[in-house]
Amino acid sequence: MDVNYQIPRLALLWVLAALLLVILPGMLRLPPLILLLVLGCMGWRLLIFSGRASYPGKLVKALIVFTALPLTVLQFRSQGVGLDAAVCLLILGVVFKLLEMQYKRDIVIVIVLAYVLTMIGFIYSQTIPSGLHALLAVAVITGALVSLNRDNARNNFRDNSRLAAQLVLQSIPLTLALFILVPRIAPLWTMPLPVPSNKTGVTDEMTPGDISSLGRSAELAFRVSFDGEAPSHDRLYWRGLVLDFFDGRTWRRGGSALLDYGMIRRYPSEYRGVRQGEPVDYDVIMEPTQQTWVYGMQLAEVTTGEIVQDRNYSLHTATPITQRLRYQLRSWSAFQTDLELPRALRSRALQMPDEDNNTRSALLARELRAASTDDRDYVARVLSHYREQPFFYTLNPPLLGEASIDEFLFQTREGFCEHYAGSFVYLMRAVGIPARVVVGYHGGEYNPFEDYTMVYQYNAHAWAEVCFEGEGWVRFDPTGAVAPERISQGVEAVFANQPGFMEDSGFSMMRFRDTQWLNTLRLRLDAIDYAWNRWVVSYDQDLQLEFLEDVFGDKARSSLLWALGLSTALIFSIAAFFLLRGGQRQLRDPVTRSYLALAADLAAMGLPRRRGEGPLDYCVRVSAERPELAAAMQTVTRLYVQLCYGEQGVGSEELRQEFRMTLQTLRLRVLSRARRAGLVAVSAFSRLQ
Amino acid sequence: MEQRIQAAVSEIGTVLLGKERQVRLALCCLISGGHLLIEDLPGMGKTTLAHALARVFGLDFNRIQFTSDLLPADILGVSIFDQQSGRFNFHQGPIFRQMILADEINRTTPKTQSALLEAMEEGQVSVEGETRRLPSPFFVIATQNPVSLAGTFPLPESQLDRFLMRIGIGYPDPHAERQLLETAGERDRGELVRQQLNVNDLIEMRKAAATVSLSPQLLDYIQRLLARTRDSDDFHFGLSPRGGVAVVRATRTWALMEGRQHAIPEDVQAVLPAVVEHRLRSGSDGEGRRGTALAQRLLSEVDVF
Repeated sequence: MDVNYQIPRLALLWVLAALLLVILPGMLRLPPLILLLVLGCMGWRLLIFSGRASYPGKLVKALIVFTALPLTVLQFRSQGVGLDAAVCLLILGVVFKLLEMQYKRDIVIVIVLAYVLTMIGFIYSQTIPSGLHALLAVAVITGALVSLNRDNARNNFRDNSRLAAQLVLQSIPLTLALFILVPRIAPLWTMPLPVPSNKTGVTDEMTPGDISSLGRSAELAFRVSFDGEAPSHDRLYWRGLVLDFFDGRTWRRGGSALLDYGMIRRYPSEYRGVRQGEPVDYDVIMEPTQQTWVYGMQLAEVTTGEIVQDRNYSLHTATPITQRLRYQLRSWSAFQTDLELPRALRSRALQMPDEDNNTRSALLARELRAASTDDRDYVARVLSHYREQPFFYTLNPPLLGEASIDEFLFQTREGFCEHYAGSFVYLMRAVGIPARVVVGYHGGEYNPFEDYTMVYQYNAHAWAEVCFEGEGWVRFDPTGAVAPERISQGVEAVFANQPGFMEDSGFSMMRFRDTQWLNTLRLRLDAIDYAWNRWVVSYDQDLQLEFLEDVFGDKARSSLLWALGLSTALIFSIAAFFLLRGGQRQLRDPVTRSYLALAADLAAMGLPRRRGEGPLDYCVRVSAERPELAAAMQTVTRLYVQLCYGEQGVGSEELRQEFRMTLQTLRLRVLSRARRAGLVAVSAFSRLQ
Repeated sequence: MEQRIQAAVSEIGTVLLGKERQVRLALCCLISGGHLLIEDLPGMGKTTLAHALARVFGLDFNRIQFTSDLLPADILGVSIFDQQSGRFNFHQGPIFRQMILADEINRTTPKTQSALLEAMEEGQVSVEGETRRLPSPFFVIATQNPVSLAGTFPLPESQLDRFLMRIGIGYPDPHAERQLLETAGERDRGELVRQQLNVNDLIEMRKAAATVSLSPQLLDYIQRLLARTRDSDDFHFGLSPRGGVAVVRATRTWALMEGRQHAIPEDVQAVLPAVVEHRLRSGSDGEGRRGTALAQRLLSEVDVF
């Protein structure tokens, strides 16, 4: 490294710009104090750059570092040692390096770290804008690298940016090829991501008012694409959780953990349900929910490894969903489950609140049951009760008091789906019919541009399942009795003009769905985002294999991957070989090689040959330092010089032989001495450098 | 031959005390048939060296003191009208000698410098449309003062290139200086040098030097050195092919002077500073002030095998 090296001024500006660009999206995650420190350091560097400040002294640097460390710990104390804190430390490290960036080595470190920071950005966000941002950041960082390595004459902004853009553009095809072909290896560990606390979505509790509040949100819940024809709207019941414990006000997941979390594979096959009819295959990309359950149509067969099914046929993941999750399911529309309901499940499906104030409802139930011929007739009577009485389906139901079922059924009669589902199940249980509440989503908006269905938070829904002897669980949707268009056309059609619908979404484009071109634009944008997620973000090992098989046929699968892996390894090792060998490629001459080996041995004794030292000079030096080796060294050197530099023809075979012999003896002597000094490995290595 | 060279070296050594290395380099330069540039402060023994070199070969010798008003005709010669014969007779200038000491060459104008340099390169001079051959061998030993450059015309790179070697003499070591002080007062010590070699020896040596063998490894080494001057940022520009040829010529002669029929890297290293330093310019030195450590740095950065 040239000690007189000065960082080109332009390169410095490039680096500062690149760093600012890289840190920009992460700035909001930094605590204000740290952000202040970061910006302060960058400002200081600018002052140094313009000559208005000098480099910080050792004391100042130490002070900054030792205040920043506890500061970081303090700021992130509440969140624990996690990704955020680590990223914060890394950013601090980079900006501190800015302050002592004087030599080329320093600036190279900063540039490499800027690349790393760009990659870290992907942990937080994997959207198209963040991808574009990363591309821009990489281009600017490359520009800094270009500017750093250009001589002054050509170092101007335009040339540098052009070259950087060229480099980045040239690397894109390679990146794509690597992205598509390089074998995907599952990460060795997963990053604990900070959990955003206020995530909207379906929870594992249902109190009246919960789901209607979701109607205010136009956030995306998940997107589904069907293989083949999509089922009609009224069949799109995205089953989430089964809630079977009622405390008089709130529905919860009840019963034993064993039943809920004990996965269905442990149960005998008859419990898995009887599947009939045509299956439908579909592919779901779910937005992060921070919960462990996922949505699918009943009755689903799990084809993805990460999803498991519990005894209630709900689908779960092993860990909370903190990133977009993609999974495939196969569902049968005609199915029968639990033809014989086990006693434990039956008692759970008949559970009633301990303190039950809903006396009028229980009375109504018994009256209706007495008038019915059987359970099915009773269900029909209850549904027609909803239909015939003045019930209203509304997003803004009035609040309910202690006896919530009674109040709803006899006083307010205005409710959202959770009111209907909850009261319906209560009425079933009141007369001893096993029933339970199911929460999830219903419906979805079809996007013709990429042929998939978008399900939003306002599609959240609750319905009921009733178990008949010999028939198993049957889905009933009491909401459909009150507002049939909710089921056939969707919640949007019902509530489009009702106050509160999508209220929390601000000026979301959803609000302008009546304007044709805006709606088209919205669908298009979502289609692009969907395609990005489907083909880029969730491009994993399975998808890769699928793709390769599509392109190269069935055989491709393993053989291609092997070939790819091997050829990559081969290419890299060849490149590495030549890079590492570097300038020593002409060194094929065995005489020279063995002489250099001798020099390496002597180096181990503390007598390294200096760079550019002629063999005779070296011999003289070695002889002076080690008189005991002088005679042998002189012979070897004489022979070496004669062989290497002597007149042509003198290098006879005998001479070579003699050279080899003397060299061997000398090396043995040298080695034994060097070994005694215990320095062999170290200096042999240093010589290789 | 080696002994005779050694005798010549020690003979010169009697007047230029303690400067064996410089003497050998100067001899090497002359045997290689190149011109020599001696650059040092006044009073360091430049003239003495030049004188001694001329005498040790028995060459006829002339000294030209270059001044700012010296004209090309002053060194080349003029035609003078002879009234008796009614013809112009050419009167040879001081350059028509086997060895010229061009003192303070940078004091004269570029016009005069180039007249001398043409003579150095071509071995002939053109006066009044007529080409006249110079005696053979023809050597120029030029001196210049590296300091007090006011009013001088520094030689441009293209002309420096004509000199095979540039050497400095340097202060004598204390022992040699003491000896010098003790015998002070004997003017023009160069006159004391006895002839050791003659022109035929010189020609013979030159032929012998041409037969010194250069192994592929050695040529590789020289090429690596040349490539380094061209690739590295340390150098403002690389060595020209003429520079490379000069290195080879001097290397051969040096090997011969060492009594070998083959050249080794040490030979290259011995002559390289003298041969290349005036042809190089440091990369950080846009002004043309030559860093003398450049050749040493070059040697220490290129591998020898």
